[in-house]
Amino acid sequence: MEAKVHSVVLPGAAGEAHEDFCARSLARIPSALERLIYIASTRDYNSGVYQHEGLAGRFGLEAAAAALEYAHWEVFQAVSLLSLRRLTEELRKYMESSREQPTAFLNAWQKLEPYRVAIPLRVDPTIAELFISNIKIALAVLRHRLPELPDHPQASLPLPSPDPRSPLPFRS
Amino acid sequence: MMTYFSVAAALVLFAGLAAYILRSKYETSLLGARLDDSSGARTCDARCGEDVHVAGRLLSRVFSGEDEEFVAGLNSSRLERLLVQERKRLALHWVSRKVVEARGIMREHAQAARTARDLQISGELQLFARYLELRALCGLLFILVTAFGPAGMQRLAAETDALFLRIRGARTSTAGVTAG
Repeated sequence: MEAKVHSVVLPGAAGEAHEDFCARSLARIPSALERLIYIASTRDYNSGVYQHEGLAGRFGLEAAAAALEYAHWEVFQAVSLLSLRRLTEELRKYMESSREQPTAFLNAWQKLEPYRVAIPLRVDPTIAELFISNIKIALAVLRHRLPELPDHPQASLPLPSPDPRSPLPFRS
Repeated sequence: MMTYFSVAAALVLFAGLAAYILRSKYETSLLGARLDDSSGARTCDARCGEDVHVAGRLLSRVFSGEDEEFVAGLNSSRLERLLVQERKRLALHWVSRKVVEARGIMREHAQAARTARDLQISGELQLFARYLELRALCGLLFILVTAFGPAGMQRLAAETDALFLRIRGARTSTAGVTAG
């Protein structure tokens, strides 16, 4: 079903690039929120163009950018439509993997709202609103649970490198 | 007796007027936002389509009580208030967007109909009746969500969305006929 959808939306090399990106990179990232943040980090802040050296090397710049844009849209939609319980859990895992003190993490996320950069350029505005709203509530839930959270997360792992064969996405 | 009736009628009129003013305020701000991102939105519609499945999940997220149950379990009145406030804002945003989009569809349709040679009166009347029904449903949803919050309104919202999709579908098929 999914393959059918993206083969219609992403023709030719872009479709292949999307499949490759999902299989090699996204599949290695366990949490949906981490996948979203990773894809958003491949987008240039100034131009809004997605860049991934490894993918571009195999499929071409345009195909790679289109594949990343579509993957971003897909993952964003999935994260936005998570239940509040699931999203709070995803956010807790992400906070632990960041190795920051929970208080510092929550302060930064609530004040600076860095999650806004994870919103794709072309997305249904109500879904974007739902994402922002849910993250705000999930952060408030985590702050409410702060006394239960460990101050020093143990055995937390860094964000996995998506593809050891392709270098991390560059930014201009 | 007559006094009570007059007071009740005045209250109903006042509530209706307040809802109308609030809704107009939302629609105006949404229209501005829509004009700002219209270039991207058009591409997105063409590329991604407005997936009915996604629309259904969006409705269930905004209008169902599942998240409320989760937050209620946390025993924090502050969190409960935050959730209700956020969900209400989202639900009103959704309702207002449907009205703005439906109005846009009808405006485009009216422009196309002016130059159409094979206009079907029955089809036009049916489309207009559906539009009026949609506006009524949106108005009702707006008042209910403002008064009681969105939880439990999923069925009414789904009905409204289905009607909106029928109007959009009818508009597309009519456009195909008039263009040909």
